[in-house]
Amino acid sequence: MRMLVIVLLVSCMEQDPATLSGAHDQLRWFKTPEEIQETLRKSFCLNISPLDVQDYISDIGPLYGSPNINTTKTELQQPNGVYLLALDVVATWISEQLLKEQLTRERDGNPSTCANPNDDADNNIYLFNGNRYTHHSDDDSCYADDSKDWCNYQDNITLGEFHKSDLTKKQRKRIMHNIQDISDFLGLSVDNELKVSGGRHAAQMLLDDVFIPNLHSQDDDASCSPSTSDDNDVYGGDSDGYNSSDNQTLYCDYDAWQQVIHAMLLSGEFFLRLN
Amino acid sequence: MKLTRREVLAYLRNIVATAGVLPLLPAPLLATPKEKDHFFIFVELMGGIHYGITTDCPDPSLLPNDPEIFIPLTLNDRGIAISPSLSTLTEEQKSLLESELAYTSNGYCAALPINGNSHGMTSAGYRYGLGWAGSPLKNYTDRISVLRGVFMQGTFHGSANIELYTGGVGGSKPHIAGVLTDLLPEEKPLDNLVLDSATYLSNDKNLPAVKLTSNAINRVIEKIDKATANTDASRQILTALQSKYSGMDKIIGQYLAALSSLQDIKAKIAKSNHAPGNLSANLAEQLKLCSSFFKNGLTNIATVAVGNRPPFGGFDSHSFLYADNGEGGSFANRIKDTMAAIASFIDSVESDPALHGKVTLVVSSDFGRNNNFAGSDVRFSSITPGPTNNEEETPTVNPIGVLGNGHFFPNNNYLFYGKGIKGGVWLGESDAVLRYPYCVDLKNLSDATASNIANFFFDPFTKESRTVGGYLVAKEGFNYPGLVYDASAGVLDISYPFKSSHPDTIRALMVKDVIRTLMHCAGKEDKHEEKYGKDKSYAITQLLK
Repeated sequence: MRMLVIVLLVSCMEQDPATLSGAHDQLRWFKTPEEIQETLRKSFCLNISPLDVQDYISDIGPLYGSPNINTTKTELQQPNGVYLLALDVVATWISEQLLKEQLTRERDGNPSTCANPNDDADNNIYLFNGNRYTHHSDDDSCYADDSKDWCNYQDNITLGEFHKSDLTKKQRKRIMHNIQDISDFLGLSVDNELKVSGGRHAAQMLLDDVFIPNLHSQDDDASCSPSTSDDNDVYGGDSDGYNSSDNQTLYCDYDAWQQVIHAMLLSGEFFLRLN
Repeated sequence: MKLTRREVLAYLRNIVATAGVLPLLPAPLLATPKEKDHFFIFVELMGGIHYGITTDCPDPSLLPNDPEIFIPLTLNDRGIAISPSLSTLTEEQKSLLESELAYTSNGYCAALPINGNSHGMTSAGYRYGLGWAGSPLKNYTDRISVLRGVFMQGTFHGSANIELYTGGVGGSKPHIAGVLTDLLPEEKPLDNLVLDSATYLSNDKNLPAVKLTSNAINRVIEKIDKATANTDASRQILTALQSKYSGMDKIIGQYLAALSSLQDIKAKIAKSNHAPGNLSANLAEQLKLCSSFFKNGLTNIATVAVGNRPPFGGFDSHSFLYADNGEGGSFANRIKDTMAAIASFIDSVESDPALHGKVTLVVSSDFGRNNNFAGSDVRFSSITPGPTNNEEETPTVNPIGVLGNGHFFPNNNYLFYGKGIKGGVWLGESDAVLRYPYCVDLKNLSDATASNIANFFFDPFTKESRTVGGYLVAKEGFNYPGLVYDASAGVLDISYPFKSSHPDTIRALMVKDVIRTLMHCAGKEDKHEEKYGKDKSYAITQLLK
């Protein structure tokens, strides 16, 4: 029920497809780049620059559903390799933008005037805090209890907390919960119930198969640090929002979180018009 | 081992279903090109090329020694006129250039660089003429073939671009790249790749194009080493959600299949090892990318374009043809660089066993440009460089920078190279000064030399003579063979030898002939009528092996 509410909430923030120009005669199995852009702006409070629009809507948008200016309709007939190629790029970009906004809020509180439906004035809820329906309690007794495999309490994870090492069970549970939070925020279905092939929780699969392999340590990357280094430019500061390879790993867990978000987005639930 | 895209996807789905993970791709899926492979690249040089200094340079001995008709120019190594400069022009020439008609039309007299040109006969017995900007192709005249004097129905940018590789106007005919893709025996993931702003207009859903911008490719290349592990994680999540979205089985299945092919595509792009860069401004880089994609099994057919995206700025050279355009060189220099890219591509193909004998390259532009001196849209204010008195009417342009030319749709050129192309065949000549193409006897192309080309151009649609106004404006008393000065109109009429009784087979070359020739080249002549209808086109068979 909780997920349904979130999905509806995010969906309501999107522009009515019927009002979008072009693509009327297409089977609407996909969300158009313009709809996705609206979601990013209104639901995710991301500040999309004109250059972002050029890069991800105007230039590669036709690959994932923008109407061609010559034909005023999209040429997308069904999901294909090129569509996924475009989504792969867009999902990478979105994940980076979300982490950038997450970091800004961790540092500065809530600087945005964006009316984020997930936001809570008292709690500054964003990507790592799921949504307003999450059980927010600082009680970490569940996390400390090794007999419990899953906890649904506030995990208090912030960017830069983790680096490449053997994670404790408590850390693993907190990370899995944060993955659920991220999924909630994105309006997706990775929660404490969804299981993948083999019986693992989807969050556990993302932890073991995606998060941990992408954690860095200072041993393999001297610039990687969970410390309080002056990382104002941790997300690069490139005008187009892209991170340079030099500073992407300033936080040892940046790539890990980015890959997890990317994997969830690319699973299709975010881009497809599923119902 | 031959695998179609469908078989690849089926294979991957089967592996995923049975093993639960996506394995490394087996060697056959990363196969190198096969002997029978035929790759096509269609290049669109956007803006209109000045062929008089490129592939249709008149023999200087044919140019009149009359400064009122022809002014010889000498260019430096950056394509900037150095001698005679405007300051050395005669008073009469200056007077002509400063007149009203000089900047409202296309000038009084022809002007061409006389250095850096080469002329001669190819080993196949055809007369070629390369101008200053075409000089990089000097050692390639026997390997490339050129169709000159191709009459464009499209009379402006846009309509002519659409016609360029369709042979029709307004999108009435399909793009040859789409048609050939549709006829391919074996599909590849990025087939009918259309890069950047290349013109591809097709309402036929059966002829889809993969429109990739340089930007998109750059993004992919930049991120190619990331997210490689996520494909499988994403697939597992969506598979787990299938029961939740039970009514969406078909789309989810297609998405999962596409997700599997994504790994294949990304692996091939990664293998192509192409560094990101501003491809849109660089034909050489685009051609390299095509080569990489051909070799790595990503596509068979690509259409590329340079011209209308910054910072390149295009070939729309109404001005600055022989002057510094602010980039350290002239438009002529830009064309020369582009011809050098083509020459370099030919070398790279011929030195690569995986591509040699497998690639057909076709190059053209919106239309040609005439040889006339004055710019058509930039006003002269003074022969002396410097700001003008009235900036609204006369921009503060250094007058030396306004040596450009207007659109000239009657004479486009096509350059051909590679598989199926004979090489050394240069067809379709035109008048040295006026640039109007001679008619071609399409029924007797096997002997196509100058002697087999009819005397003068006529309108292939009305089959009647047409006024030349707008392309060459002469002062009273102007005398040139084939032209008659119309004192009342102030323009010249071409004296056409053919009237309405003239047979269809003697006319200017047209794009529809190019399209039919390419269908021949691809071995698909039998499909021409099905795709293009009965269009009275002729395959220029002597271009072909």
